[in-house]
Formats: sequence, C-alpha cells, structure tokens
Amino acid sequence: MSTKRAMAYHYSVTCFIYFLLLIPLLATLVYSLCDQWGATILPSGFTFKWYIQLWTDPRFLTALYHSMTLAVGTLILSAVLIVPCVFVVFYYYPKLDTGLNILTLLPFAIPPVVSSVGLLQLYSDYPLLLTGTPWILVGCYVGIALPFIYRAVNNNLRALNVHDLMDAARLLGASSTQAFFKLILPNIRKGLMASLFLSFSFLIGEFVFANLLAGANFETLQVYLYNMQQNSSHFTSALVISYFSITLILTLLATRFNR
Amino acid sequence: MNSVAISHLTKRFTEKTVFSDINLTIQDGEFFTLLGPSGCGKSTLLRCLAGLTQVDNGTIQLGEQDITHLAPQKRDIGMVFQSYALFPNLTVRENVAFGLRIQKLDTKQIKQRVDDILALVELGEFAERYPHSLSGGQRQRVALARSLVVRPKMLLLDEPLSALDARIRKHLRQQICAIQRELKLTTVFVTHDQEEALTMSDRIALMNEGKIIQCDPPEKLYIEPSSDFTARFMGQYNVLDADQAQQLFKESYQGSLAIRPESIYVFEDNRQYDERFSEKIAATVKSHQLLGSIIRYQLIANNVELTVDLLNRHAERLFDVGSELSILIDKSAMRHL
Amino acid sequence: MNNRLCRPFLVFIPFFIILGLFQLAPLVWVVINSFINNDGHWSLDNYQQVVSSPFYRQAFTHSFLVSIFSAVAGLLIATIGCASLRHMQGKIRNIMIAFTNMTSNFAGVPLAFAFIIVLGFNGAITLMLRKWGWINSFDLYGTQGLSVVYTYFQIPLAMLLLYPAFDALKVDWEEAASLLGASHRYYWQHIALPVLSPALLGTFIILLANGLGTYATAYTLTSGNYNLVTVRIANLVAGDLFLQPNLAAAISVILMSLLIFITCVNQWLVKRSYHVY
Ligand SMILES: Nc1ncnc2c1ncn2[C@@H]1O[C@H](COP(=O)(O)OP(=O)(O)O)[C@@H](O)[C@H]1O
Ligand SMILES: [Mg+2]
Repeated sequence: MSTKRAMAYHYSVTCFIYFLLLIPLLATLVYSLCDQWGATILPSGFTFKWYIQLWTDPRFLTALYHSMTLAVGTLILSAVLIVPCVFVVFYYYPKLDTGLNILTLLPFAIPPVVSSVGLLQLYSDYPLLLTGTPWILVGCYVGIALPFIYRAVNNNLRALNVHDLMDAARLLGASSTQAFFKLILPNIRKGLMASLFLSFSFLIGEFVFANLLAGANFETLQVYLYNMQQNSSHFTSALVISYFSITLILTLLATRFNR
Repeated sequence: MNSVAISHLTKRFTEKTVFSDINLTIQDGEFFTLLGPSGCGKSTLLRCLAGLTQVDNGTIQLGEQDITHLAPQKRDIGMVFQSYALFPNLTVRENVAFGLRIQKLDTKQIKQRVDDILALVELGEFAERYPHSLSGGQRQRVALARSLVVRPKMLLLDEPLSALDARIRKHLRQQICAIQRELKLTTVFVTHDQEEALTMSDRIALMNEGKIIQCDPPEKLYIEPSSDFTARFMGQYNVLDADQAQQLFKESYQGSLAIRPESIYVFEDNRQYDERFSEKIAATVKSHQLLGSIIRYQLIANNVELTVDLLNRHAERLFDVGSELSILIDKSAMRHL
Repeated sequence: MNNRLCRPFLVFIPFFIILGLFQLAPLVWVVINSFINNDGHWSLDNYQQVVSSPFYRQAFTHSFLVSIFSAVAGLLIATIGCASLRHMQGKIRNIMIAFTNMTSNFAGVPLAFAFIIVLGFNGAITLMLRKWGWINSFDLYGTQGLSVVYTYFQIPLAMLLLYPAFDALKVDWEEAASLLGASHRYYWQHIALPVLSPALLGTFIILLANGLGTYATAYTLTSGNYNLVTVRIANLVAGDLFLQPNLAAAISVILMSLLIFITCVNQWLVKRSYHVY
C-alpha cells in the first residue's frame, strides 16, 4: 500500500519539476508560432512567418555560419591538442594527472568576464592584435572544451586497460605512436565524439567572450540574438526556438554516441 | 512464543510469479534454512517475511500476530543482508546503537547493551571504527550485532556468508550457530550452499523454482532424498533412471535410483561382505579428483557412469586413470525415488 | 632511454602555449594590474576604491544575494527531484536525464528572452497570476526576477551534478533502517543526507560560483541596469564610459578570493562531514 503512495509522490514531484523547467520553453515555442500575443493570456493567429523571416535574414545566416565554423574549428583544434596530452599523462606520467585535473577546472573557476578583463588588455595591441577577430575566441573556447574532452577521454582510457593494449601492440612490432593511432584512438572514438558534441552545444551557447572580445566584428549566433532584442519578441522567440532545436539535435547525437 | 506460520503465500512480479501457495511452519527457537539454487525465490520469501516486499496472497503469522500487512518497522524482525548494509557515515558503535536510539532508550542503557553485544561478536575493540576500515567478516558481525541488539522476535539472514572467503566463512558459521543457540532465537537462514545448510540448520526447506521440494532435518534430507532434485542437489548422488539401474545391476528396476558416492566400495580380497552389498561389478577409472580427505572417482561400470568417493586414507592406493577394479554397492543406502 | 621518455613530453608544448596564452596570462595580468594604480605605481588604491564605494559594495551584495538564494533553492529542488527521479522506470528516467542535460544548456541570452515572454510585464504567466490575484506586480528585472531566473538555470545543473551521487545510496540501507524501526524521515535525516553531504556541499559551491560568474543572463534581462559584480567588471572594460581595467581587475581579484575562501570552508566541511571510502 505504502509503496503505491510513495510512487505516486515520486511521479508527481518529477512531473512538477519538469513541468516548471518546460514552461519557458513551451511559452517561447507558442510565442514563435503565433501572430499576436499581447496583454492576453492566450495567443492568437498561428503562423510560420517569424521563422521564414528569420531563416531568410542574411545577417542571421552569417551569424549561424560564424558560430558553426568557430565551434567546429575550435573542436578540431581542441581534440588535436588535448587528446594526446590526456593519453600521454595517463600512460607515461600518471602522477601529473592531478595537475591536469586542476587545469581543467580553471575555466570553471575563473568567470569569463574576469578572463576578458585580462584578454582585452593583452591582445588589443600590436604584436598580438587578436580582439575583434575569431582567433581570440578559438583560444578561449579551447579552455571551455577542455574539461569535457579531458573527462571523456580519461574515463575511456580507464575502462580500456591501456597498458596491456600498448604492450601487446609493441610485442607485435608497432611503435608507440602507431599503437596510439591504430589502437587507442579507435577505442576512445565514441566517448570522444560524445564529448565533442556536448562541447559543441556549450560553444554555440557562449555569449560573454563572443560579445566582449569579438563583438560586432565577428557576430556569432548569441551576439546576433542579443542584438535583435529590439525586434519583435515573436521574431526573437523563433530565434530562441531555432537555436534550441540545434542544441537539442546535438544533445541527441551526443547521447546516441554515448551508448 | 515466536513460531512462524506461513500459509498459501504467493508473490508475483509483473512479468513472473516467483512462488505461489507456499506453506511452512517454523518452530520457536528453530534454526530454519531456505536452501536452493540462485533465482529460486529464497530472498523474495525472506523479504516477504521482513515486510520489505508486499505479498499478493496468503498470510504470515508470527507468534499470535498476523503480520502479513504490517510495516517492517513494526514487525520486530532483525535482518542481516548479504551486502551487510552498514551505514557508512556511522561508527560501529553508532551502527549498532541505531535501533536502540529509535526506541529512545537512555544513553547508559544503550551503551551497556551495545558493549554487551559487541563483546558477544568479539568486536569490542572496533567500536569506534568506521565500516570501511573493517574486513568483510568483521562487517558481517557488526551487521549481526546491529540486528540482534534490538532483541528481535525473529532473525533473518540472507546469504550472510557468501561474500566471505572460505576460512572466515567456516568460523563465522560456528559463531552464528553458537549465538543463535544461546539466544534461542527463531532464525531463518538463506543459502545456496548445501554444506552450509547441512552443518548449521535444525531444519532445511529445499526450494526450486518457487516450490518447496522437501522440508526436513539435515540428516533426513541428506540420507532420504524424496526426489530426483533433492538427490542431485544435496550430494553428488548418482541418480540412475530405470534403464541405467537395470544395466548396472543386471536385474529389472522400476523408477529411478539414488546412490550416494560414499556408499560404493572398492572390493578388497581380505574383507567379508554381508548381504547388504550387491554383487561385484567390474569398473574402469575414467578420472579422479583429490578433494582433501576424500578422493572422488568417476568410474564406468557396465556402461553406467558413477561417482565414487573413497577416503583418502592410503596414499598408495590411488587408482590411475584406466585401471580396472571391482566395486560393491551398499544396497541398504540406496534410495528408490 | 632518455629520448624515449622525453618525446612524449613534446605533445604538451602546443597545449600549454594555448592554455598559457588564453587562460593563465589573462589571470596573471588581472592579479598584477589590480595592484597598479592610475599613475602606474604599485598600490592598493584600486582595492581601496572598491571597498569604500557603496556602489561596488552593493554590486557584491546583490551578486551574493541572488547567487546564494538561487544556489540554495536550486539545490533543494534538485535534491527532491533526484530522490524521486531514482524511482522512475529506466526508460522514463533516461528521457528525463537527457532533458535535464538539454535544459542545462538553456542559459544566457535565450533564457532571458524566454523569461521576458513568460514573466515579463506582459508575460503570459504574469498576466495569469495577476488575474488570479496572486501577485500585484512581478519585477522580473530586479532582485526577485533575477533570483527566479537564476534558480531556473541552477536546477538542471544541480540535478546533473547530484544525480550520480544518489547512486551511492544503497536500497539496502533504507531497508535495514526500516527493520530497525526507522521511519522514512529518520532514515533521510540520519543516513541519506549525511552520506550525500559531501556531494551536496560540492554542488552548492559549483552553483554558487556559477551564479556569481553569470553575466549574459543578467545583462540581457536588465540591459546592465541591475548592479551585479560581473556587470560592473564588464562595464569597466567594455562599457561606453571611461574604461578602468585596473579597477575591474581589483574587483575580479576580490570576487575570486571570496570564491576561493568559500571553497576552502567547503572543503573543510566536506572533510568533517563523514569518512568517505
Ligand atoms: N523486484 C523484482 N522485480 C522483478 N523480478 C524480481 C524482483 N526481485 C526478484 N525477482 C525475480 O524473482 C526470482 C527470485 O529471485 P530471488 O528471490 O532473489 O532468488 P534467490 O534469492 O533465490 O536467488 C528471480 O527470477 C528474480 O528475477
Ligand atoms: Mg538471493
């Protein structure tokens, strides 16, 4: 008897919390699909015009293109830089793992606004004039992707029995480098891809660096979104929903890969 | 009087019925064992007794009281889990005192009773340690002390020894028995290990696939198996069907036959064999296995494979694979099933 | 031999160059320049200015108020949520967790927009609540509103961080406790919460840091009109008026010092809470 009551309680709690979390999203969705929703509780006039207006706006498409290329470029660079480091630490210098772990937490501990203070001063001048270009964002975003990639690769290596694999490969005549590319990399590919998709959605959602460091010179999706706030809120809703759908697809892909 | 009466007990999970119509009585102060292969429903039955699983049908009576639908908190039943289930944030002393605190006993009384019970399980010096710093056997004894200290009407043990290594298991087995006898506590013990069941219990209920196959004292269960399943599960019984029995003894048999491996003898010239024994049967050694004090042979006699246990008394008398010998079977120890 | 052990080290070089340029260098710049005054001399002038200014003190008060409120509320809701989520069937649970994952990304500018639609002056929910007479007005652009919005993005993050910790709670424990006479509540008070406390404290710190560091949401929602630490810092380095990067650096250092202090207190509490395996 009591277990049935307990289950009813658990279901209602879960439903309530997820309902709360859903409200803003649902409202935005409805808003983006209707003609008018002013000063009344219920909306009126179903329409796709805001989406059409958005997806035909060249400025939006440019911003989307900027965000995508920036994120993809950053992630390729991050993977190339970070994966070998995590592997080398794991395999050759396990004692350095604690240090690497702390490094990965750095981007969490320092708010982006604070980093921006230093970055703006350091890189606004010759010889390293980077502000206003995508390059400074690439540099900062590697730091954002680092914890995700580190966690995923490290967990995968842990599950892999790397030392036996490497020994076996070397007994068969492969060099360590060959063994890494032919053996280790294929085995951690899935986890790595999942972490890349996860980082992707974080990078697409980054606003602070993009706004403070690049601003109008290299307008990303988030900055475009911010700059559109004077527009009709139906239009910005369509923008929010479009943005969210992109993230949703990426999250789904990430979970697919994680299996 | 803390006897237990279980009648018509039924438990279904959505996709399967674990057991139906179980009837059992357990005497006051009895050490009762549920024995059976893994997955046969022993734990589920035990959890029904504890009130951790709701039953679908039937009743459970403890003493004078019908406890079928009573909350576990109100049953006065102690339980020891296979995983120990010690609270990791509490010391040994606090773990043991947990139930007494809930009963709101005064501090002095709690301390006295905890000290007494820890002495009983020989853990006095570990009172201030945390569970993670104890060995498996010590943890299991803390769990035992924790459920005993509240003086339950009945104690339930779900495979309490199976996560421990062999030597500690033997020791703890004796300790549990001694404590149970001393407290005269009605106890239900669950195990899949027939040796454990045989050495510890007053009575054993052998279960298979949710049914109680046989419920008897250990000696009777071992010597007089009432079914094929019991014979195979309880020892390395040779279970022969009618055809095999006929092949072996060259006389016609009906029904199947259970022969214990230790009731088969190797013929020795200078010994007298009375009429309990069968005729001599020629056999060939197929393999042998040293099990400490006994040697277990697989023999082929008249195209029937037999398991034979011989005392490992004369090291020189090890029969090699392929050797020919004659065997005699103690017919009085044979069981017709 | 020497060569073989050295070569793997080479992979660190590009990694550390990037990390050094974009993570460590700005941090070092901030720390050093916070101690340099307008005349270019070593001094504590910047700190003096921050501490003595009611305006900056208010920014800290606001930031901590909103962050602590949202961290506590988010943690509370997430704890209750995780405890219930654990009892869901596998499939439902997985969908819920995926959804949590997704909403944890829903922060910053888009979140602010969504809240303006829902809870803004003419938002659907505001209208509804006003009509039912539950509220006269709801100020989404003040302390009240920011606390609600912050709590919203703290909940999914807290759930993601906490959920794995709930796996540490064994079903056996509650069963053993109940057989010893403990009620559900007693079990939570004496076993479950103490066991969870390291995870709860750790999550609290992350939520607090997350709240204190948040800029985009507040900036979009209030157009920078609500006085928060991050808004102040950003204004001093990228605002329309005079820029004072060194003052921004001082504020940043104070913010980070406070965070470090809280983290240390937290570590101390975790150490004391109970002996982990
Ligand atoms: N909560 C449950 N839900 C569904 N099936 C269960 C549950 N608990 C046990 N079972 C099933 O009941 C049967 C008996 O389980 P159990 O009592 O644990 O066996 P034993 O303890 O004898 O190994 C098993 O087939 C098991 O799969
Ligand atoms: Mg079991």
